[in-house]
Amino acid sequence: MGVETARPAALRRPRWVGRGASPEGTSRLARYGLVLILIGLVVGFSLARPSSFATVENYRAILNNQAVVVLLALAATLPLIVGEFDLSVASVLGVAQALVTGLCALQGLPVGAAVALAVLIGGLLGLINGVVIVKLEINAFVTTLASGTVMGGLVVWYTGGAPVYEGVPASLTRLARGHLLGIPLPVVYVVLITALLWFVLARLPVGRRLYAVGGNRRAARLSGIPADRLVIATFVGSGVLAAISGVVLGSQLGSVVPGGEGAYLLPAFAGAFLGATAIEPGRFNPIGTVIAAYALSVAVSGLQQLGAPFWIQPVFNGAILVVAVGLSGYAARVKAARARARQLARIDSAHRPQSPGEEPGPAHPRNEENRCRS
Amino acid sequence: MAASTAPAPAPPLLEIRGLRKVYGGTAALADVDLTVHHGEIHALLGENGAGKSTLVRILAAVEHEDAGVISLGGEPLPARRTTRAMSERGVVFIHQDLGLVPSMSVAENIAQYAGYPTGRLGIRWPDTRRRARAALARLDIELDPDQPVAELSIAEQAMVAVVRALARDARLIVLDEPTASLAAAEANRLFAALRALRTSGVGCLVVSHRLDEVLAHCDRVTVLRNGTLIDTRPTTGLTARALVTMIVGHAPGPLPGKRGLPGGRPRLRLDGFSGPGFGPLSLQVARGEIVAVTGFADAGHLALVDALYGARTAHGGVVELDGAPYLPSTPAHAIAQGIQQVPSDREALGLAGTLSARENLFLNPRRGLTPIDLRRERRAAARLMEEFDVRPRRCDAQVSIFSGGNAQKLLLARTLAARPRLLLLAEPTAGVDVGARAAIYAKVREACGDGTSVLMASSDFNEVAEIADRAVVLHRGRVSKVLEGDVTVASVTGAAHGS
Repeated sequence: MGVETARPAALRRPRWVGRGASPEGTSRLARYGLVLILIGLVVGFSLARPSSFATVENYRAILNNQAVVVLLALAATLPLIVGEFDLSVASVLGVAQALVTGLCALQGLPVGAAVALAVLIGGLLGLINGVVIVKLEINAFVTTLASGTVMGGLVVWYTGGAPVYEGVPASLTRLARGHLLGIPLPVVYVVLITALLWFVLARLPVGRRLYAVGGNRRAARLSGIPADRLVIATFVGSGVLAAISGVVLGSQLGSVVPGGEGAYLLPAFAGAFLGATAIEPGRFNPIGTVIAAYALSVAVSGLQQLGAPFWIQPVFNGAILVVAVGLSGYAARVKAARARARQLARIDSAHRPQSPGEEPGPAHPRNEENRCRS
Repeated sequence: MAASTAPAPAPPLLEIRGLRKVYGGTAALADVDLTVHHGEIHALLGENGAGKSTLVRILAAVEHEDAGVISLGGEPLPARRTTRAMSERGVVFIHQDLGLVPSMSVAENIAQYAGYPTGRLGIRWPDTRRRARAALARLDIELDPDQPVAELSIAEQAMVAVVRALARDARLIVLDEPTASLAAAEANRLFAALRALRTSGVGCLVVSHRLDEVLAHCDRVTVLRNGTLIDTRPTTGLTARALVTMIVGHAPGPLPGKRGLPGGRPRLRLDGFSGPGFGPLSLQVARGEIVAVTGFADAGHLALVDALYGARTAHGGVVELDGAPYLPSTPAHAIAQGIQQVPSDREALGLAGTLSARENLFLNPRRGLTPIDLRRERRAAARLMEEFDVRPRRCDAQVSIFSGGNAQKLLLARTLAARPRLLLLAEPTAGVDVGARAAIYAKVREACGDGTSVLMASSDFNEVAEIADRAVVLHRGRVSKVLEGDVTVASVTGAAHGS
C-alpha cells in the first residue's frame, strides 16, 4: 500500500488525451534519465577539463567520430525490435568499407557507383541472413555469427589482406569530411537516418507491426501480420544501415584495414541495449539508441581526458552492456512484483473479510476499481 | 467439511493448508485445504480452470504458492523448493504426456528413475533388463523391456510411466488425467495397478474428468471450483449426479432458446472437415447463432477452430462461408474474409505483453504509408475500453498489468471492432473471473444481434450451457452428439464421455 498512496492523483488524469507515443506507467525520469546522464557527463567533464573537453572542436570531434558507431547501433536495433540478434553488423560494415574504398582505389569505379554498390551489397547480405534465419529456421545468433565470419574472410580475399589507402579519391573522403552549415556531414547523416527510422517505427503502421512481432510473434501472426517477411525486412534494413556506416567510416578514414571492424560490434550493441532504457523504456527505439551511443562515447572520451588508460573503452563498453541489460530486466521484475503484491492484497481482503485483528478489508477492492475510473 | 475415512494416528501423507496462488488478477487457488492419507486414492475434481492443474504444478514445485503450507508425512515443505526436492521426498508425477523418452526402450525409461546398475565396464545391461522385468511383473504387466516406448500403445505407455514412478520409492503418486486417452478397460487396469499399491502405504492423488472411474476406484474426492475448495467427501454413497452438482455449483439455469436469426444460407457450413486431432465432421452455424464445439481436452474442438482460422493446416473437407467456398490458409486470409479469432491462450497467442493496451487493440493497423493518427487511435481505444468496460481505463498502460478478465475483454474488443462475419472463440473465459465472464458473454451476444455468427470452442461445460444456442459435443475428434435446446452441463458432460 505504501507504494500506491502517491499514485491516485496521477491515475485519475485521463492520460490518453494528448500524450506522446511512449507507454504510460514509465515516469518522465525513466524516459529522460539517460538524457540527463548525457548532459551531466558533458557538464561534468567540461568543468573538470575546461581547456581540453569544453571546446567546440572536442564536441564536434565526439559527434563526428561516433557517427559510425551510432549508425551501427541503429543497424543492430532493427532486428532487436523483432527479437533477433544480428551479430554480423560489424562485418557488413567491414565489407562496405572495403568495397567503397577498394572499388574506387583498385577498380577505379566512380564514387557514386561504389557507394551504391556497397549499400546494395549490404542489403543483399542482410537479405541472405534474414532468409536463412526465417526459411531455414536457423537461430539468428548462429546464422549471423557464421555469416559475419564468412564476410570477414571475403574482405581479406578482396583486399589481399593488405590495407588499402592509396588512390582513394578525394570525392569519396569529402562525403564524410565535409560540413553542412558547420555541422560535420556524418552527423547530418545520423540526424536524417534517425528521423527517418523514428518516423517509420513510431508513426507508420509497419512500425506497430514490427513491435508487435517483437512483443509476441505468435500473436502477431494470428493478427494477420506477415511476421516472417517483417523479420527478413529488419535484417535487410540492418544490412543497409551497417553498409552506410561502413561507407561513412571508409570515407572518414580514406582507407580500410581488414579486420579493423571487429572493435565496432560491442559498442553498437551496448548502445542499442542502453538505448532501450530511454525515451521509450522497455523497447528498442532509434532516438534512445542514438542518445545511449553518444552517452557512452562522451563517458569514454571524458574518462580518457581525465587520464584513464586507453583500454578503458572496451572495459567500459562491455560492463555497460551487461548493466544495461540487467537494468531493464530488473525494472521489469520490480514492476511485475508490485503488480503481484497488489493482486495478493486484493484477494486477501476479498477472501478474509472478517478475520480478527486486521483492518477492515472489504472496502479495499472497491476503492481500487473506483480509483481507476477516468 | 466431511470427516476423513480413518482418524490416522500418524500424520497424513500429504497435508495442504491454505494454499493460495494468484495469476494476473485472478486467484487460481484461494486458501485450499487438501489431505491425502497413506494408502488412499484421492480424486481431485473440478471444471477446467478450477485450479486443479495449478495445485498439481505447485506440488511438483514447477510453481510456488503465494501462501499456504504443504506438509509431507508431517514435515512442512520449504516455501522455495525445487522439483528435485519433491522427488527426493518420494513425490512422483505422471502427467498426461507421461514424460517418457519415446526413442528409448522400456528398460531404459524405467532405469531413468530407478538408476542404472553399473559395474567396472559401465552400465550392466542384463541387470538393467532384469530389474525392469521385475518391476513390470510386480504390477502384472507383460511387456518386452527392450521394446522402444514409441512402439507401445498409449495405455502401455501409461503403465510404463507408473512402473517407472514406483521404481523410485514413491510415497505419493500424483496422476494428472492419467486415463484421458485410455479406453475403459485399459483405465481399469491402471487403477488396479494403483490399488495394488495401497498395502504398501503409497497414496495417490488423481486428477480426473471421468466421474464413473472416480466413483469406482477412489476413496475420497476433493472438489474445487473457481480456485476455492468446495468439499472433500468419501466416495461411498456419492452419485455421479451429486458430484456434477458439486463441480458445477448450481442447478443449471433456464434453458436458452435457440436464437439464430432466421432465414437464408448458413453463415458457416462444414462438410467432412478434418485436420490434426479432429474430424471428419460436419456442422453448420446460422447467422447470429452461437454454436459451441466442446468436449474434453483431447476432443479436438480447439484444433478445429485453429484449422478454420488457418492457424494450423487442415487435412480436407468442404468449408463454405455464406455459401461461397472458403479455403482456410493463413490468419491473414481468414481476416480478409471477415473471420476473427480470440485464441485460447491470451498471453501466448493473443496479446503482446510489452506493448500498451492501445497498441494491442490496434496491433495490425491498416496498411499504407500514412502515419498513424495517435490522437484518433487513443480516442478509439478509450471508446472501446469504455464500451467493453476494461479496467483500469488506461489505454497507454502496458497490457501485462491488466487482469485476466480485463485482458480477455481487450482481446474481444479487438476482434469485435473488426465487425466480423464469423467470430471464432477458443476458451473465451479461461482464467476469467465471474464478473468479467458475464460481461464477455453479453458482448458476444450483442455482436450476434448485429449479425455476427460465433463458433466457440470451449472445454468449460458451464460456459457452453450458458451461452451456446447449440452445442456440438466432440469425442476424440468426432461428433458425439449435437445438443439443440437442451444444452445443459449434465447433457454436455454425458455426451463428452461418448455416451
